[in-house]
Amino acid sequence: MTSAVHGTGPPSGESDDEVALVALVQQGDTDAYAVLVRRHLTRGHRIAWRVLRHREDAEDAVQDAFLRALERIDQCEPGRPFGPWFFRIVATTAINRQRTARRRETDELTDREVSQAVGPADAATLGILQGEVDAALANLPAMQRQLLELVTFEEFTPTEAARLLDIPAGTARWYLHEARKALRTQLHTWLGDGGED
Amino acid sequence: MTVGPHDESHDSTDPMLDALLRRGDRGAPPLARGAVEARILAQAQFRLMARRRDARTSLADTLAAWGRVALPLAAAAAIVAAAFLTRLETTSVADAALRDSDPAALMGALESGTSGGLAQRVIASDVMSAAASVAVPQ
Repeated sequence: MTSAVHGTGPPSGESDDEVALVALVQQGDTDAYAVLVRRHLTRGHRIAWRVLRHREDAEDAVQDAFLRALERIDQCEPGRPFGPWFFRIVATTAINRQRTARRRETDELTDREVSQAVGPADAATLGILQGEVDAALANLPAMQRQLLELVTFEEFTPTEAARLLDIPAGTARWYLHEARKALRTQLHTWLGDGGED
Repeated sequence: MTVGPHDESHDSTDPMLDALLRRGDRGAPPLARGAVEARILAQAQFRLMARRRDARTSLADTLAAWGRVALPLAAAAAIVAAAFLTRLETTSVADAALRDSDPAALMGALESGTSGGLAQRVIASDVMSAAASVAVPQ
């Protein structure tokens, strides 16, 4: 999902027309704003969810982020694509929400439908694995977990993820190193010979 | 904040672990795109409207500012141009004709209608000359 622009934006054709869209939004064009919302809503939501791990909070965060982006659209550098700039606002909004919101239990996720290609026995195994991965991730310090999820699941580079979360790239690499070390220990039974993949 | 050593060795990935994590990842819950989109757009309407109003105000202010500067400048430029052109017509054309003692050119300048005050000057000069010639014998 890596794009030509820092890997965090839309494909290059879209990033070109985003410069024009941003200029229109600066003039108050509703249609241009709607295009940007449609284009970046899903990924923005996934980033917010990776940070918050809570369904409603993630929806609220991405909603807030779009409104903040509109308020600050004049700060979106001319000639630069909207996506990376916006995703940073999403991450910041989600982190702030996490800091200020009262602590809640991690969202009880409804299990996604297991692929129909997976038989009942595999589905049961997959369910166990999902539970253990969830638990292992939940045991990580928040910043380590957020970085690891953005890099592993959302395919940001460590540097891009660091930028999103507003931490130095070197620190991000160290956090990733520590997170992977902890996960290897917690999931060692799945990683042994004959384990997963 | 800086934590720990930062050499590139920490960039090393663990493909087996990553594959396991991806397999065990439930992913973000499905998003009710339509509803969320509608909420965002509804909340943005006021801000977008304010931006449109500001953009219109800004354009009007810009035009007014330009008008305040440009109109007097244009008027001044027109006056200077008119004065210059009048001076050019009444001096350079006639002076050249007189200097060259070319009666045809002088007549042309007088008859062209573009020489403005030159005709009046020549006529006035003739009247003065006639008056002087009449007065001298007395």
